[in-house]
Amino acid sequence: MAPDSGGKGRGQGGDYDWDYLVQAERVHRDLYTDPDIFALEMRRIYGGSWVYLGHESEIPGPHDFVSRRLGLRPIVLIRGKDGEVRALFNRCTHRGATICRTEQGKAEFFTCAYHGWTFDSSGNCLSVPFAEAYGDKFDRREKDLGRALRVGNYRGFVFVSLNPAAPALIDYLAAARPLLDYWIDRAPTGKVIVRSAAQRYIVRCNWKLVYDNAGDGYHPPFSHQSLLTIGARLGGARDMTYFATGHPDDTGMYAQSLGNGHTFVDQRPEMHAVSAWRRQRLQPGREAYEDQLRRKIGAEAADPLLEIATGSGMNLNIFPNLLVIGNQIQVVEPLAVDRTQITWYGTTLADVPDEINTLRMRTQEDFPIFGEIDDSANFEACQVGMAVPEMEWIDFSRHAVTGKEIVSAGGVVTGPVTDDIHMRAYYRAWKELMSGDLKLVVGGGSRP
Amino acid sequence: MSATSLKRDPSRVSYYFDDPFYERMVRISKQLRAGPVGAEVDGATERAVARALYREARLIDDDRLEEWLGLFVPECAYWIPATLEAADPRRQVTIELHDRRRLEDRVVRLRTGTAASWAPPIRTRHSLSSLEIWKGDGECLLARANSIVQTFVLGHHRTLGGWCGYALLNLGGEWKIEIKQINLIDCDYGQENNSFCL
Repeated sequence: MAPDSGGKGRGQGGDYDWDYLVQAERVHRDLYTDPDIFALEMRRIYGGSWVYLGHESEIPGPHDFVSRRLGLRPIVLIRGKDGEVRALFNRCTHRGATICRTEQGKAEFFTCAYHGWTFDSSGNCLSVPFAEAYGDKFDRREKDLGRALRVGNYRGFVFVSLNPAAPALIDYLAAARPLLDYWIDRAPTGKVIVRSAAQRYIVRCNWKLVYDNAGDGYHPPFSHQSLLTIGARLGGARDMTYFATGHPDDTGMYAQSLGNGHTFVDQRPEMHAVSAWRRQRLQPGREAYEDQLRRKIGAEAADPLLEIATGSGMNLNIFPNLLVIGNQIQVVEPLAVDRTQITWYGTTLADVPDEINTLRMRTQEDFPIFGEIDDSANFEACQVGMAVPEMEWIDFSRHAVTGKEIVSAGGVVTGPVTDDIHMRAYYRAWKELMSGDLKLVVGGGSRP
Repeated sequence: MSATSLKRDPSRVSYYFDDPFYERMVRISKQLRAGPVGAEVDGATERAVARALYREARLIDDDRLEEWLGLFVPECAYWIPATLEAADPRRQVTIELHDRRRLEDRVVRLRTGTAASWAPPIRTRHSLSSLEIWKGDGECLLARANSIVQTFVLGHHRTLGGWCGYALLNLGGEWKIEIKQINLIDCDYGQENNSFCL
């Protein structure tokens, strides 16, 4: 299929001219509309980098599994009998059917519904019915399920890469790591539990429109006016109003590039300046549980706990699909060039009074219902607008030339909160993966 | 309204959304799921409840949301679970769970004129069928109905299927909704723009 740019972005032999398509302060709209580029992304970005698949607390016991996607590849993320977490390709080694067709559960074995081939929870092929017809040399061990050879676990966050040349996960996380630590350590004993269901949305847009927005400190006073209005209707300065009281760049908030395409928008300097609990939007049961907690553990002891019932004030974006936002783990799942699922996993904390987790459930629901819904409408509007092939460019030049970015140790770059540093940073990582040499490798089963 | 009652006005403060209320929601949710087991209601009551529920759906579809809010008792819940077996919402996020105050937020948001998800507004039409009404605990009535919501916006049609459960209380001779639970058949899969009231 010919690219809509009239061929300008596509070089000889069908290769893309990445230097034309991805420039310092803008990218080509084909990146959002061309199904061939999307297909390439699903292999190279969602294979070549470290992709977040799930949290180990979702599969606490042996044989517990959840169904996930690595790009478009169906994956069963499962804990084996040996306790090890594996990412198995949900694809029968025979004719390609999925061997697991439920979203989550516990399974010692998976039997393909098509011809009955059976695999254990480590991916080993256990039996092939009437195998004598495959001849004497048939070895079912060669029919083990495909599996990601690199599974990384950072404090419960499980990532997968098919790229033998990718750096170690801990190095890949770069300067995102101490921020992820901060987020996890808001739990008094550092234990975040991801077993509280999820809010899932389908948005008719390219996945990068969701990602673009994740580090965008420019849009809140405009895109989230409806949320800011309801926040203010009963008085008081509530969540996020600090974006709309003056020029956002004059606040203490900032945007950062953290390396490897990861970025950060920090709302803490405003949201948590005095007390995020005091300024939180009025959530269901707020007064009931605040009273109950103060009675239970004492008025003063309750204060720091109520603070962790509020959002973290962080937008930590780990390229390409993990958005740690507020108290949720938000995952971007591409479905097609113009179709994306956004999943917000609810989290509870270990070792806090029940009141805190109850408040957190209602807090976590709030932004997806009242904020993300308007974002999504705008993402869909972008996708519609990008249908104009003659208008090629998507701009991300804010603060590119104002000299306000500060480079610090470790390559972290800090800019004003409305800086487009997020898009500039992640598109550098994107371009490297899309244009570089890449050899993806898949293993089989758990046997050596 | 006196100072004391203003302090407890559920449109402004949320004292009633406490552990006993959550426990009641969970208990009623189980009863709704199990279906009619309690005593039947008389024909006149059945007709009155049916009228109330059809009206509730109609006010949504006709964009009379301020009147729609009046069909709920002051201390109410609007609940769209995110799992097929609605679990205790104190330990699960939901697609939506609102107390009176946040339910009013939901309506006010659509009226701001600045919600991109409501520009243009989503057209809806609810169909209720297989209505069953029975007696719950105390003075409460329970009802459930299958629900199909046809929506349309910007050339895009959707059909949302599921069933609704209701707990109703009689306030001054009128049946009002205490809890509305909307159980979507795809609640654990991706939802699109559900800005409208379900």
